[in-house]
Order: sequence, then C-alpha cells, then structure tokens
Amino acid sequence: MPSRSLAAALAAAALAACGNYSTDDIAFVEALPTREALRVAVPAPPAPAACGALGEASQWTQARTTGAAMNAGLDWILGAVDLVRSLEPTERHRDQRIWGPFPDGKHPGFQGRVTVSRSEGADGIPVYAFAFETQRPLLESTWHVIIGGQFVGGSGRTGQGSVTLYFTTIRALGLNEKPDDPTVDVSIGYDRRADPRRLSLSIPPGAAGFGLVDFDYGFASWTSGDSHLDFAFQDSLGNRVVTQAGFLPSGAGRGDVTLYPASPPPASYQFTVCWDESGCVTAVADFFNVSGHCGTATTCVTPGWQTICPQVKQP
Amino acid sequence: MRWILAALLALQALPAAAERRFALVAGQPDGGPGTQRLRYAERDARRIHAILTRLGGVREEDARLLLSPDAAEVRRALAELVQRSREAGARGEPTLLLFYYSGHAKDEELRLGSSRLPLAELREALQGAPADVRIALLDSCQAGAITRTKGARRAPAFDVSRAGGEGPRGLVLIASSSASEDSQESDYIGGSFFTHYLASGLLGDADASGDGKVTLAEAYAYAYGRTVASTAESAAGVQHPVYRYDLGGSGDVVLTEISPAASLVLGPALEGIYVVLDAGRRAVAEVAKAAGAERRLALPPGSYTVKKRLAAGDSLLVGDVTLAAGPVQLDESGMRRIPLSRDPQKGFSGARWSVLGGLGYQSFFSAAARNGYFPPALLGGVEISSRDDLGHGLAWGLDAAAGGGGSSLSLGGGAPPIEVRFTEFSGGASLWLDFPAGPLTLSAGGRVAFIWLGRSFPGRSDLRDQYFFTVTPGLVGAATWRFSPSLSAVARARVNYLFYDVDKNQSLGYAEVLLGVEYALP
Repeated sequence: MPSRSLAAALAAAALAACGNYSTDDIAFVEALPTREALRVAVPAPPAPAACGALGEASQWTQARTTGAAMNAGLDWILGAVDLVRSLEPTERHRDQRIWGPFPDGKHPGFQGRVTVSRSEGADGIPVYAFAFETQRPLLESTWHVIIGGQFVGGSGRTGQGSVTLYFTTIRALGLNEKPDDPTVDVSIGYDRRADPRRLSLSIPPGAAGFGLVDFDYGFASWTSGDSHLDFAFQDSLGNRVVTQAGFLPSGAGRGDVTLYPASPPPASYQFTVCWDESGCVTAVADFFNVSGHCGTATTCVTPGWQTICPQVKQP
Repeated sequence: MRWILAALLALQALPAAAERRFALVAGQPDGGPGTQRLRYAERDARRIHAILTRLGGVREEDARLLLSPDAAEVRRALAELVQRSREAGARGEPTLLLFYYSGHAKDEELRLGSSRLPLAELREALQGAPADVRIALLDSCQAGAITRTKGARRAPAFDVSRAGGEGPRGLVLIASSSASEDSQESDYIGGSFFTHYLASGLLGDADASGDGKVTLAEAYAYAYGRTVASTAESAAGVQHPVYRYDLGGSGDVVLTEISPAASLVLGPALEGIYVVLDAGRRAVAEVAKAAGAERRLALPPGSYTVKKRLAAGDSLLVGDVTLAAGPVQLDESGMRRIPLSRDPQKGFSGARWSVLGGLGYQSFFSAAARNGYFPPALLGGVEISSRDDLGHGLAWGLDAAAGGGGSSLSLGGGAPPIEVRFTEFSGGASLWLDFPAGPLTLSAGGRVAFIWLGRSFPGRSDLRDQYFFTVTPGLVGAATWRFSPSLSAVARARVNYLFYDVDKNQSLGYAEVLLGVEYALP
C-alpha cells in the first residue's frame, strides 16, 4: 500500500477511535495526595464524663481543635485535587495532563487550570509536579500559581510530597476566602512511605492563619491507630502553649506541654498531663502547677505518674 | 426425438382441475460422504412446490415439501400420499400422484444425506401406487437409471391408439440426465438447469399450443430442448433428460394452467430469450420466444425485472414490470439498453444462511497492552452468515460478541495494584472464501469490526470508568466440520488491528479464537 494510502487509513482509524481509556490518566490521578494523606485525624474525644479531682484533659480537646484548623488549611489543596479527580483531562500529553481552563465559580472573572507534569526521579521513581493556576482572562494573559507542589512515587497513598499555598499571590489577587487566611506562603509536607505517616504544616513566624499561630505543626499516625500531634496555640491569658500530644488507638494519651507566659518572657514551664480514653486526667507531672489541675497547690505531681501515663509512640 | 415430441404434443390435454392431485416435492443438498453439497436443491424444490400449488391444481393440503429429508421421511410422506390417493380413488375421484426430487443420486440410489433410497424401490412404489397417473420428476445425477426396466426404452413411442374415452392412466418417469450423465447446477441461474427450464416451461413458456395449458409432454419437450441447449457448451458436458412414458387412456396430463388474468404477456412481435428476475434479481423464469406467437408467464403478483440479451452480445435490454391482478404486456420499447457488464441478474443465487454461536478467547499480542490496557477476555458470540450469495464460494457474515475479564493494573513507582474489571462488545462484518474439502471447509477472508472496550475499578469509586471504541480491520479464518446436514462444528480465528490513541498513538493487534456450532437455516 502506498504510504499516502496507509497514512489515510491510519487517519481514518484515528478519527474513528474515541474514548477516555487511559492508564496514564489513572497514574496521574493516583500520584496526587489523597484526602486520607492530607488529613489530621486526632481521635475524637468522648462525651464529657464525670472526672476525678484532676478534671478533664484540655490538651485532647485542644489537639482536636487544632487538627480541625489544620484540616481547614489542607482543604485548599484537597479542593484542587478533588477537582482533578472529578474531571477528565482537557489535554493529554505524553508526560503531562492539563485540566481546564474552567471558570472559577467562587470568583467571577477568574478561570483556573491544573497542570500535572511527570518526570523520572532518582531510582526511576516518578516525580509529579502539580500547579493550580488562576488567571483573569479579561485583564491579563499571565497565569498565577496559587498552589504548587511536587509528589514523589506512583501513589499519593504511599508516596511523599510537598505543597505550597501561595497566600501572598492569593491575597494579592483577592482570592482569600476568610480574614484569617495566612498572609504569607504556607508549606505542607507529607510522607506516607512507612510508619509513622507524617503530615506537616508550616506557618512562618509572625504569619498566623487558619486560626493557627505560627508554628511547624506536625502530625504522625501509625497503622496501629496510634497518633501524635505537635501543635501550638495561644490561651485566653495570652500564653503560648506548645504541646506534643500522643494518643493510643483508644484515645488515651499524654501531652508534654511547654508554656510560654505572655509575660515575663522568656521564661517557660514544662509539664506533662496524661488522660484515659474518657478524657479524664489520670496523672500530672507539673512541678510549678501552671496547668491548674491541682487548684492552688504549689506543685502538682501525681505519685507514680510515669507508670500511670500511657506509653505513646514518638515519631 | 422430434417425432416423439410431436406425438406427445399431439395428445389432447385434459383439464388439470378434473383430478385430485397429490405432490411430494423434496430437495436434499446433502448427498453424504463423497459428494459436494448442492447449492440449489432446496431452492429447486421450493420453486416446483410453489408452481404446483399455484398453477398445478395441487391443493396445499395435498402437497408435501421436504427440505433436506432422509430416506425414511421420503418413504413416510410417499406412503401417506399413496394412502390418500387410494382414499380419493375410492371416492371415485380421478387421482394424480407426482413425485419431484432435486438432489444427489448415484449407483441407482437417491442419496438423501447419509441415507439411501434405491431408484428401483421408488419406481416400484410409484408403479404400485393406486393413483391413476403417477409421475416422477428426478433432477439428479445419473437419475436416468430409473427409466431402466426390463425391456426399457430410452425414448419409447407410446401407444396413442390406446387413447379412449377415459383419461390418462399410467406411470411417467422423467429424469434430468441419463444414467451415465451428471446433472448440473448453474450459479448464474440459481438452480439446476433442468428444474430451471422445467419451471420456466410450467410457468407458460412451454405452452407450445398456446391454449393456456402446459401439458406434461410440453413441459418435458421444453425442458429437454432448453437443457440440452444450455449444457451443450458446459464444462461438464451436455445433459440429456430422459423419460419412460407408460401412459394409457386418452389425452395428456395438464401440469399447469396459465391464467390469462394475472400474467406477463410477451406479444407476437417479441423475439429472443427473455429472463425474468424477481426482486432479489434472481431468475424465476426464462422465455425462448419466437416471433409470431404470444407467450404468457403465470407469475405471482410482484415486481420483476425482465432482461433480454441483444444479438450484438455486448448489451442487454432491461425493464421493470409489476404484476398485480391483470395481464401485463411486456413493452420492449420501454426497456433500457445497458452494457452487459451491468447485467442485473445477480447470479450465484441460492444463498445459504447459517447461524453460529460459540465461545471464545481474546488476547492482545503485546504484553504491555495485555498488562496495562486490555487484559485477555472470554467472549460469547453469534454470527449470521450467507454463503454463495455474492459469488461461488464467497460468503459474508455479521457477528456480534460480548465478553470480559478481570485483572489488576500495576502503575509502578510503588503504587499498589488496582483491580480492574474489563468489558468488551464488538460487532463485525466479514467477507471470506470457502474452500470445501469433503465435510471440512477451510475459510479465509477479511473483517471489519466495531469494538467497544471498557473497564471499571471495583472498590475504587474515586476512579472513573473508562472506555474506548474504534473500528478495527482484520483477517478471519475458519475450519468448519459438517457433522450433520444442518450442523457444523466451527473453529474460527480472527486477527485484528487496533489503533489506540488516548495515552499515545499505538498500533496494536489482537487475536480471537471462537469455537462454536453452526446451524444451517432451512
């Protein structure tokens, strides 16, 4: 068959072919972090119980509150990921998929697009670069990256990655949704290659956001159900409280707390509080009784507290 | 021969309606081992059955049409009609029993599939039958042996002087070829020569006397002359129909009556050979027309095409006629002239339809395609096919299949495998050549198919179902083993090309193997 006829036959076959049957589509989507990977899952505290003299463990409820605030920040990424998962790619290239442009329903005048590009990293492990860009098509031709990231490994369930939320750009474009959205770029990382699976959210000093104070937040979880959250907050007296909270699968846990008084800095106090699965404090090691679990006593140390406290895992 | 025919024609014909007529019409394409399946035996039988019941005075309830029967079925049907003719005779009705057969015969036996019916047995059965007139019309190779008896005459004169006041009585045996000749089929006319001309004659072209009645003698004379003329230059040699004509009483037997009401009339001015084609462009009648006489063809109502080959040899006259209740004159001036290359006669008629059902297996050649895209699948499929419709040995078919399978998809890079459920639907059109070798037929040809491939991911609701469809050209081959007249075991293999273009342009190929049973439609 002459080459021209062969080309015509192939063209006819190509025109007749149609579908979304793409293994690479699945590979690109699978590489994106899953909702499970970008989720702080602190055990839920039970209904309030009648606790003993040491009262309830506020560290548990505070960890839960902090986790929810972190999840709100992570939703920025998950929203973009869910968008990609719900749509077929608009463009398919050998090592790239593009979704969009599509109008931004929340922000009139804006349109968005997502680009995922693939390259080969060390040891042949694929590396996926992710960019969520926005544009005001009537005003400019420039695309602005508002979420950028890199995912290593074939699966977001078992890989690692980092994502940056470019809040400086988001705010400059007026796309921030809440007054307490961060004022600077926020970095998020995850690593799910082995136990413990880690998730971090870093808010630079002086740039609070998502209802969180500046801090390198870290969450770790084990397949056994154990978990650990490093977090910080400012209490009602203005003190900065940094907590390393460890949880057993049952919810029982231990919080190692450092309290930075609002004044006079730079003094700090450390104490440990342990609780059972009901959320009631079972032991305290607070040599200056700054935790308030022992009323007006000068010290608050439960005899045998080291034995009473559960053996939580450390990341 | 001419004086014989003249004597036959001289007989006075009696009206067909005066008798109670019984007809057993059989067509058996399968002659058993060592014979090649006939293409038109069943069509021959249908044509004769239709003419006898429409024009030949045979009531529907008194006619038996047997397609692909065995010897036992023929014996039973013949015995039943013999009994019924006996009962009719007992009631004082004059009776006629006609036996027609198109099929294989050899070694003085009718070959009905794997069974045999000796010609001597058939002859004796007809000789002993109580009907006033018994007629056997055998269109098969070497069937002329049935006319042999002690002192048999190949072309006997019959005793016209015996004609008296009573109607004809006796036995007439007519065979399409002599005891040493083969009877021939023609793909072009879509039937055996003898039956084709017999049918044409019965429809009216044999009405030499022009009285609107076709007698047995007229029909034989016509079929004889046309068969000899048409086979004279055939590769298989000239074919001579023979007869044994032991008919007493007065007059000849009228086989058909040509109603003047509904017919195609070829006026006296027309001259030449006219072929009438039905809506399927297959020959239903042929008229060898001499100038000066009128011919009527008693065709059923419908649309026909009439063609006439011109003397120049390179062109035809073609015209369309529609027959309803009244006679229609063929107007040659209204026919259009076309080149011979556009001959509307389809030829190769007598398409044989069959249905195939089976199970199969499909696999892509490329390991990467099997493991990453299209896993092997089990298929269930059906195919309807028509053989000898487009040409001798040429067949076409339409097929449909559905199937699927399961596998797991590995993406690499540490990603866990994903369970995949694979589904496929396909439909194709094939064209192939058959190469028969006894009961085994090998086939090879081409196929174009539409294929729809889909996959879903059980347990992964976050992954969308995927599909792909395209047109795939390919090749098809088959081995068919006929183990009964209507059933065959078939092993069919297909190789198809698939152009995949979603992730990247890839030329892929896949093979399908199908094992099934094919049923030849009656």
